[in-house]
Amino acid sequence: MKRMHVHVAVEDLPLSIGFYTALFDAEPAVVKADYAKWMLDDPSVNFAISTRGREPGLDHLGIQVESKTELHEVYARLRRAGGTVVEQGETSCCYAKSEKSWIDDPAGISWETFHTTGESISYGDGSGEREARVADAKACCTPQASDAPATASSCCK
Amino acid sequence: MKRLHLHVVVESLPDAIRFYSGLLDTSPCCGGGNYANWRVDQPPLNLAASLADRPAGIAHFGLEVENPAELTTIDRVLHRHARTPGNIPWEVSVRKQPIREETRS
Repeated sequence: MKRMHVHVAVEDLPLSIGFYTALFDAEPAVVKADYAKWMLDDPSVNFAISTRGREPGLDHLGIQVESKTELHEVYARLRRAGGTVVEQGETSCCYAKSEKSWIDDPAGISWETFHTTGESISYGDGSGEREARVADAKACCTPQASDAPATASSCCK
Repeated sequence: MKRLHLHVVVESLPDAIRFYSGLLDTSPCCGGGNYANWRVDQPPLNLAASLADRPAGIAHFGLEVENPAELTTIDRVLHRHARTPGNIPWEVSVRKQPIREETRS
């Protein structure tokens, strides 16, 4: 099963935890001093927030998979999508141990595809992540928030 | 089933269609001259990409629900907060029919 992943940089962690707990009607699965994560089933989303960003906003998106087989299937998608794919390999970031790759989308948003294999007791240094996301100098473990303004667009569905 | 909704602003719609169709392994379900929309079940995602007179990037997040009754709770939450975390607006909608959009920042 694949999960969407969202990582948002926030200023006020307790306030943000309150907001998303109410919005998702679910308690976070992980709460740290600088980080919180919801693992939702409906919709199937891994939604993370942290105070590690330089400014509030979207840090990155992603697709989380549950097996190496799925990971390689999604890696093949990245190659079809085009652009530069950076395979970071195994890393520790955001209190989790994962294997992941990065790609930037046409909106300039970084997407990670990853398979988490375990927990980590520290936020992690995201070894290799800075290089993996060198395209826009973002890094999961020292995230730089998206510079997209928070204005709403016209609606569209 | 709820879907996460993402609306991104892009500079080139053909580039966006090529990229997201590859990433999501499916073609857009619908779209128009300056807009394309993907609806995916695995992972549950409603992704929209559009051209707009603003910098490329995320425009808003959203939750797409199937039952209008589900809107009430979410709406109440959004109304209680003068500002959304990360300054990213959230939209709530019933499938295929936008209800309203949060524009707080």
